[in-house]
This record gives sequence, C-alpha cells and structure tokens, in this order.
Amino acid sequence: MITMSHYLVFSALLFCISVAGIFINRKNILLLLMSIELMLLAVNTNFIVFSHYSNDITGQVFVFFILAVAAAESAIGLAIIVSLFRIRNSLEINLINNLKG
Amino acid sequence: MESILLLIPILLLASSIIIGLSSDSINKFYSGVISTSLVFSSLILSIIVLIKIYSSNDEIYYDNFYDWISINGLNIGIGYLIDKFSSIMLVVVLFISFVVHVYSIGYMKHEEDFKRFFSYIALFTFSMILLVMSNNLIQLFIGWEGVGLVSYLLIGFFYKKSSAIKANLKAFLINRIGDMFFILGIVMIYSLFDSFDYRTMFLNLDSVNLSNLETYFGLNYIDFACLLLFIGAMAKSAQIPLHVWLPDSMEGPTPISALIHAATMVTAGIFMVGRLAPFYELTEFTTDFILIIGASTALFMGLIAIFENDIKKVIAYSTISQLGYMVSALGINAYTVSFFHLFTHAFFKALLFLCAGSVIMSLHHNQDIRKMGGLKSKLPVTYACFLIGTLCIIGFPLTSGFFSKDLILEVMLYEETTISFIAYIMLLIGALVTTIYSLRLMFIVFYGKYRGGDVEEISEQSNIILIPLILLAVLSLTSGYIIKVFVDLPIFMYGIKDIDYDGMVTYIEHGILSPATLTLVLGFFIAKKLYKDNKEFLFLENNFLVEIKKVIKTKYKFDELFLYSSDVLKKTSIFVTHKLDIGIIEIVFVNGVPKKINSFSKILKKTSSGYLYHYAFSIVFSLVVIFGIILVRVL
Repeated sequence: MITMSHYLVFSALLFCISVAGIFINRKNILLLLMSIELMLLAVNTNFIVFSHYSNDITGQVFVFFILAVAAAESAIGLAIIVSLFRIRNSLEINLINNLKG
Repeated sequence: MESILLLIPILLLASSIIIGLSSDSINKFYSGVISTSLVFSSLILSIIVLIKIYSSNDEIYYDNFYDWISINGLNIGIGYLIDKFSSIMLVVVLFISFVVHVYSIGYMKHEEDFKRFFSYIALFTFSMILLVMSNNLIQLFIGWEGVGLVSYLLIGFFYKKSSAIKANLKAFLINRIGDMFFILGIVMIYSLFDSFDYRTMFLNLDSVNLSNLETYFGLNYIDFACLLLFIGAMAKSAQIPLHVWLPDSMEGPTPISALIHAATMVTAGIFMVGRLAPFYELTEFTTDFILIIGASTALFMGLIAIFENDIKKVIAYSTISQLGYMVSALGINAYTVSFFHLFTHAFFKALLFLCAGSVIMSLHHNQDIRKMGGLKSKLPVTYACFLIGTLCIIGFPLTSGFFSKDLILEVMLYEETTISFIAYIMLLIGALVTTIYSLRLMFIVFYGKYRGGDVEEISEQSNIILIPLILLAVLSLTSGYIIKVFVDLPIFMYGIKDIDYDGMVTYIEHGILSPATLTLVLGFFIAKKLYKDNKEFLFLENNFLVEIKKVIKTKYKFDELFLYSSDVLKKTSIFVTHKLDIGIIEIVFVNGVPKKINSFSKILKKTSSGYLYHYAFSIVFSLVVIFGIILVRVL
C-alpha cells in the first residue's frame, strides 16, 4: 500500500537531488537549469499529493500554473544561456563569477 | 515739529551722500561749503527744537517716524524722543560738528581725499543724531554702531600709513568687546519689558516685581543688565581697561579727534547711561562699579598724560581722564552733573584739539612737543585759545570747567559713603594731575625757546582755522554759566540728587573756597617749576617716585594685557585645532569611522565569491538551520 508519506519522501528525495545538483554541479549551466526544473517538479508532486489526500482540486490547478510558468522560465533561461554562449564560447560555471565582491 | 525733527538727520544724510557720491564736477571748496551749510541748517533746526522744548513746560516730543520691524508683537520703530536732556545733546553735537566742518575746510584743503573726509563726518553726525534722538534701544544701537563704524573709517583715513590701519583695527576690535556686552544688556532689558521702547520700559518699571527676578552671579536682574550695558559704554567712552584704543585713535586727522574722540562719540556712553537713568537708579553694585571705574580712570589716565610727548596723545589721555570724571558722577546717580561736565567738556576739549591741530599745521605736521616751544609770540591767536582751553580744563574759577568739575567734586563729597569718599580723594588728586599735565603742555609748547629748527618759518593759520577756535573759546568761557539749566534738568521722569544750589554767586564763592582751588594752585607751582623754569624738584629724585614714574610710563601695561590675553586665546585656539579638531575629531571620527568600515567590509567581501553554488548553498544551509531551530522549538 502506497501511503502519503511515501509520496512525500519521494518528493523530498527529488528536491534533495536537485539541490545537490545545484551544489555539486560546477561545470554546466544547462544542468543547473535542469536541477531547477527538477526542484519545481518536486514541489509540484507535493502539491498533487496534498490535493489528492485532502480532496481539494485547487492544488492540482496550481500545478498547471507552475508548469506553465516553469516552461516560460526555462525558455527564457535557455535564451539567456544561448546568448551567454555566444559571448563566452563556454558554459562553465566556474568562469562566471562576475558577482564577486 | 515732526518735520523739523525728521529734517535734522535727513539733511546730514543727504550731505554725506551728495558729497560722497559727487563726481569731480564739484570742487573741494564747494563740496566743503555745501556740507557745512547743510550741517548749519541742521544746527539751526536743532536750536529751534531746543527753544521750543525750553519754552514749554516739561513737554516731551515722542513719536515714531515709521515702524521699521513689526513681527508678532515685536515693534521696532525709527522715531524720536526729545526732552530737555536730548535736545541739549542734539545742539552740542551739531554745534561741534558745524565748527569742525568749518575748521576742516581749512585743515584738509591739501588732502586728496577731501570729499571722502566730508562725507564721513556728515555720516558720523547723522549716526550720532540717530543715537541721540532715538526713542528705543535698537535705534540707539544702530547709531552706536554707526558712530563706531565712522570712527573706524576716520582713524584709518590716512590708509597708506600702517600705524593708522593698526590703530583703527584696534579701536574697532576693542569696541566689539564692549558691543557684545551691550547687545546682551539690551536683550536682558527687552526680555524684561517685551519692548525696546524707552517710554514703555520706564512706564512699566514700577509694575515689574524686581525681587522676583532671577539673579546672576549674585547680582539681581536689573543690576546685571545695567552692568552689561555699562561695559558697552566703557568701550565707547574709553574707561579702564577698555580705553586702550583712544590714544591710538589719534592717528586720524585732528578735526576728527576733536569731533569724535573728544566731544561727541566718546560721550555716547555717558549719554546712554543718562538716558537709561531709571534703570541705573535701581542698581546697587553697578553704580559702585561705575564709580570705581570712573574714579580710577580719571586719576590713572591723567598720570599717563604727564609723561606723554605727543601733543595729541596728551590731550587724548586728558579726554579719557575727563570722561572718568563724568563716569564717576554717573556712579553716584548724579546724571545731570555728569551731563553738565559732558556739555562744557565738549567745548573746551574740542577747542584744545583744534588748537593742537593749528599748532601741528603751523609746524608742518610735527606732533612732538619736544620739538616745539616758544610759539606764544608766533601763534598769538592759537595761544590765546589754547590758554582758554587749558584754563577751562584745569577748572580755573569762572571758566566753564570750574563749574562742571567742581559740581562733580561737590556731589561726590555729599554722597557720604566710604566708596564715594575714596573716589572724591582720587578725583581731587586727579584735579591736581589735570592741572600739572595741562600746564605742562602749555608751558612746553608755547613758552621757552623753539626747539624745532628755523623759527621764521612758523606763521599763524588762515582765518577759516582761527574763527572756529575763537567761537569755541567764547563758548568754553561762557557755557558754565547756564549751570542752573543742568541743576534743574529732569532726567526723563526722574528728578536728580538734591544739590544745594543757592544761586550763582554763592556757588562761585563756595567753589573757590573748595579744596579744588588748592590743587589748582599747587599744580600751577609744580608745573611752573618743572616745565617753565626747568628746575627739578629735589624730592623728585626720590627712589619711590622714580619707581612710580616708571610704572606710569609703561601705561600700566594695558596694551600688554590685551596682547597677552589675545596670545592666550591664540594658543587656546591652536590647541583646539591641533589637539581637539585634528587630533580627536578628525582622526577618530571623520577619518576613523570610514577606516573601520573599510576594514570590516574587506572581511565581508570574502564571503561574496561570485559563484552561484556558494550563494545557493548558503541560502539552503541557513534555511535548514532556521527550520531546524523552529522544529526543535516546536517539539
């Protein structure tokens, strides 16, 4: 029997993987973008689980919004990455430290 | 009446502006004549005012020409308050000014800046009239500052001489000290009555409960305010220790010394105290203070005059000494007596100065009396006038000085307090000293042999110089006879001290029999022996007297005192700038705080690496910590 806690653990794992992806990945910005997407999916999973178990459709409606926004966001992200690549000829995160104080 | 009173200052101001701004199209002589005739018209108008005042019964002309400042209950007007007191002062100022104008046409004719000179003296007379006519303290103060300013400008009239520039700066600075106290005094009076107006103040004086007011340094309110006002008067009227500017002010042209530094401006302090007499009546400490200052000025400044060798400086010190007499009379609340001496002194001291000017001109600007002598036959008119002036100042019977100085001594003796008796003794010795230095000056300058070179070159001056002298000489001799006017003079709403005045003849008899006559005779013999016959007294070789002479010759080191105190101030300011300003404020605060911030920010800078994963890590890590804490708390 799959209970609610299984889903929650799953989404937490998903979240942790994506956070780890952000921390550990020091090579490619594309992977960073994918980790962020993954993070959003983990959150979406949470929404769906809670919505299902509390018999409230609002959570699932919200997920659609988030997915739409996430799609737009990754489109913008990809566009930025493309133009970044054009300028720098690389996508290595180690080389992008313009915020250094 | 109002139009006459308005016209008096307006004419003077017009004179100053016309002469000052006129181009070369008006030549020197005509500009002098224009200026003089305008002052003369003012004089005529003021005499009309005087006659009107004295023909009426204690009438007081009081009004505002216009409201100058009017804010929320604070009203400052430009107006006039003409009573018997100020109308006399008005005439005296304008008369001396007129005489000096005439004299200056002759005296200044070779000066390039002739017009500037006339513009200044007209402006001076205007300011003085503003001061005398004023019906409130602010207008008085404007006039007070105006005469101070013109005095500054005229002492430095020969602006190419460095000594003149130093002298006028000195006069200005010393007067600033006094003015600061004067303003404080005015403010104290204002805060008591909520008005600057004399009449409002005096009428409300009875309703103010003086015992309920605050005290300052153990003095009650009015006492302290009057003390502050008097310190202002001390600077203007050259009293110890703020007298140091007056001898130096002799750098200015001689007519100026006669007008400003002998007859009118320096008496502004006396006038002010007389005007505010109702306040001074209520004081105890301040009047004693005034008495001490006045008496010591009269005596000690007279002593300096004995050893001066500059003809103008001798007269300057004698002016200070005579002002001391007036001030000491103020110190026993005998305002009218003081004012009487002011009145007679204005004539004979202006006379002495103008005579000195005539002598100086004849000797081609030599002021050193050691290079004079024997001028009696060469300058007969000047000699005669100088003799009259000298007789007046030493109080020779039946001259004007006799009446006024004797009156001061008399009221001093009748005051019958310890302090006034000491002052009386000092003034009596002062009278002796006055006799000695005045006669010394006359003997050295006019008797004996000429010591300055070729005696043939010396000749009497032109009539335009001599006529003012004669005019003043006549008034010096006669002005004492109107003593009755002054004895009966009401100082605003107050009467005066009881003076036993039983008519002229009794007074003269009494005056001749007083100790003052003794000092006159004694002084005459001493001066004759020492300076006419050039015989040294044996007792003068006495060590003690030689020491005293040395002390007097240092002028009691007042100049050094001022230099020393300014030095102390300078050192303090250097200490403040170097140690406090640069040391503490600049290093610790102004530069120290940014430095600290800078080094702290250097540490903080290391935390911002620019790598995204560092930021992400710190965000997540701190979130975990925060949630952890919350979790622990909740559980």
